[in-house]
Amino acid sequence: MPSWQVTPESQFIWHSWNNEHLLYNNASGSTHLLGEAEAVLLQSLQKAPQTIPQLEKGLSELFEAVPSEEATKWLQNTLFQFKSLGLATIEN
Amino acid sequence: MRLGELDASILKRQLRTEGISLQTGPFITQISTQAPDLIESLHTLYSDALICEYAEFSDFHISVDRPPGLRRWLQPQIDFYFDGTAPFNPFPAGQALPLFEWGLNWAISQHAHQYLIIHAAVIEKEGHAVIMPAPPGSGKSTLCAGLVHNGWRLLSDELTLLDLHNGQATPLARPVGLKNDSIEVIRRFAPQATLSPITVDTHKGAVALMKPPADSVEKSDQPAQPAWVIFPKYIAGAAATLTPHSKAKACIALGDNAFNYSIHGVNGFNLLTNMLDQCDCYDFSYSNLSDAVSIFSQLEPPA
Repeated sequence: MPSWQVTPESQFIWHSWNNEHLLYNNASGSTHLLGEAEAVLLQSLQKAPQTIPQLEKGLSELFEAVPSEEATKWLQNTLFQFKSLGLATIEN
Repeated sequence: MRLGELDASILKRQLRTEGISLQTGPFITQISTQAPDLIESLHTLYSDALICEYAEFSDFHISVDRPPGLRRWLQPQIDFYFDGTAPFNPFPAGQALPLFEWGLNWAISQHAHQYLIIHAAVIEKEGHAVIMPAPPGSGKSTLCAGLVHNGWRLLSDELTLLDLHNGQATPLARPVGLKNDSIEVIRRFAPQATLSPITVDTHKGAVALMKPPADSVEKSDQPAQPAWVIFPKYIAGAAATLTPHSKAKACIALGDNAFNYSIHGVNGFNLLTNMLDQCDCYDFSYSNLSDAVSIFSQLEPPA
């Protein structure tokens, strides 16, 4: 199963206020505004490449949530959004 | 010597020949022009600005003059020249003053990359600055003009210059651009304000420039630490109301409103985030200037 990772050449600088997170990507020069869940997801990818089931398990534990079809769909959509923004890639 | 101390005939001769070097905020601008209406307006609006009589260096070399050829007589036009080149299409001849002001804004925003430059008004009181980014039509300049005649110091109406080393706002006290209905609003609200003649039919409508208060020009060497970022919006009939605004969204908005955020890269990001750590952020809707002044007078700096 393919795993997701942060874009190898990217360098992230984070700044947070309450549940809002700003991310500056040194590779693209872009600044992104992320919500709490999106920031946690990207930060977990920064630690190590992970498959979707691994990410689901980690996020469920962190947020004390039961895995659901809706959560999986959110996860997939968010990962592909990260990909379109140059923040994450799929590693085969 | 301040420009207002110069005899009008001498100023006219100098502007028509070698030009004058004028200190506006941190910049020295060499200006020359043949346009009589611009000469008169410069004498009025910049009377408190320092003339750099022996300047060996000028940041900007600007002239505003009629283009050569038949155009001098047929539908006369006026050109803005920056370092001898004309970056814009000519304007109708009667629009020399707004062309000069907009051209100088352009010159600063495109070249002064020692600052992070944000399209925003900035005013100060007791060492604390308010940055007010807003799109055209939001009432930013009207609010700014009203406030600087009621206890606030003008740092700039258009260009907030943030020092990359310490995040302070650098003063650039130049005339405040007023458009359409705002002209009469300020005439009534601040009768002591000095306004230029109205230029009609510009691409922004009717335009007048308000002379910056003398005290603001004299304190051009005193930067101020931003304490608030306020997004003003004129809404007809609205009560003057401050509503908290997310710092993260304020940061994105400031980056979007900056002319050179991408040039500064991570330094620009760090500057804005560190500055916002020390600021309170609000949306501000208003319709009445007196009420707006009252609300601003109650602002408490962040703890």
